[in-house]
Amino acid sequence: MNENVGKPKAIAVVPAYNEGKTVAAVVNEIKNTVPDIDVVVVDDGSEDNTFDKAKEAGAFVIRHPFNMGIGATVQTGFKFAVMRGYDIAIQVDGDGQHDPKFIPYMLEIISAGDADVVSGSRFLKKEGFQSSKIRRIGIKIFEHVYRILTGLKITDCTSGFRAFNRKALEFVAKNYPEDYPEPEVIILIHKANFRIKEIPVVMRARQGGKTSIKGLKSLHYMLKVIFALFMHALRKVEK
Amino acid sequence: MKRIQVMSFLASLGLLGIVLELVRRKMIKEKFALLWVISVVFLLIFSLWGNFLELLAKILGIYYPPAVLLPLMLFFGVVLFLYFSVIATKQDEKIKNLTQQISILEERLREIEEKEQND
Repeated sequence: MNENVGKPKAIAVVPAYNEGKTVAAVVNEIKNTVPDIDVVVVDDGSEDNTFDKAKEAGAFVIRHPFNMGIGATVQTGFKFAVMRGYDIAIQVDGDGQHDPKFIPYMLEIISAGDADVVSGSRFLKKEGFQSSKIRRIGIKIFEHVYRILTGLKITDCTSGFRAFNRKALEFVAKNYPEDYPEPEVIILIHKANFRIKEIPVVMRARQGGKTSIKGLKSLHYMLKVIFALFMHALRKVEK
Repeated sequence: MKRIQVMSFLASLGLLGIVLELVRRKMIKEKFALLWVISVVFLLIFSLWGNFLELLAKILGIYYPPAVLLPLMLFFGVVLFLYFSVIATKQDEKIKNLTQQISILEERLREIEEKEQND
């Protein structure tokens, strides 16, 4: 009778820093769209009511005692998922940019074993929110860096909308970069011989919060990430 | 001994004393003090063995022996800074892992307590 038998256990990992206005809606939307997955919100030491809102919405909520940055926050969620024995973890931003309607397709690909990591790209089919021009140029440059370093075609390396199977999940729970981790994760995962697949998704303009990268910071970001990418490429990866 | 030698010897000795006293008071851990002690011992050698500097200058092809001191100091300084950067990185990683672990455990604890209250 139980239709969940044999079905992989999946959890959405939602990093949130001062997302009190949107986090409940994000949790509810995930729960309504994909009722059979759990949600864990990782509150990165927010000063607002993110924690209470996420709790009220019925998610697991982990709270960092102080702000540690997006990388450490997502990783905390992955560690939690590993400890609780989940088979699949899906990273979903807490600001409402990611539409959960794409989650079932991501789960399908992972369950079918077609990829170890699925990453949502807003540039494969150029629909929906396309980010600022500067950021798009940056992402284009990264696309070339990836081709040189990995031979992969990654169209949206800054995407924080990703699903990981158990093995990849165990890996990222142990190895996850800090600061602006998304682009770096691709290299790490590729070096650890996991298969990455991009799928087209439509992203929305953020409902709350602010972009963490703008102005002069974006130049610093580009340099830092490119430097980090090359360093990752030179490193041996411990599985 | 020249006056400058005496002075630099005393200064080096003073620095060594400070380092050792800080270790004794547990304000510097032994493993972090080692590099400092080695640096100070070098300073002592320089101050006592006056010709050492001239010898080094000759080897390095520097005409004015005291000029050897500057790159040498820089070298030790850079090594020390690098060493501390490595330590800072290690500590950063450890603190991150600890904090994540505590946060996850705290969630678990809250869950168990809530369950107990409801029973």
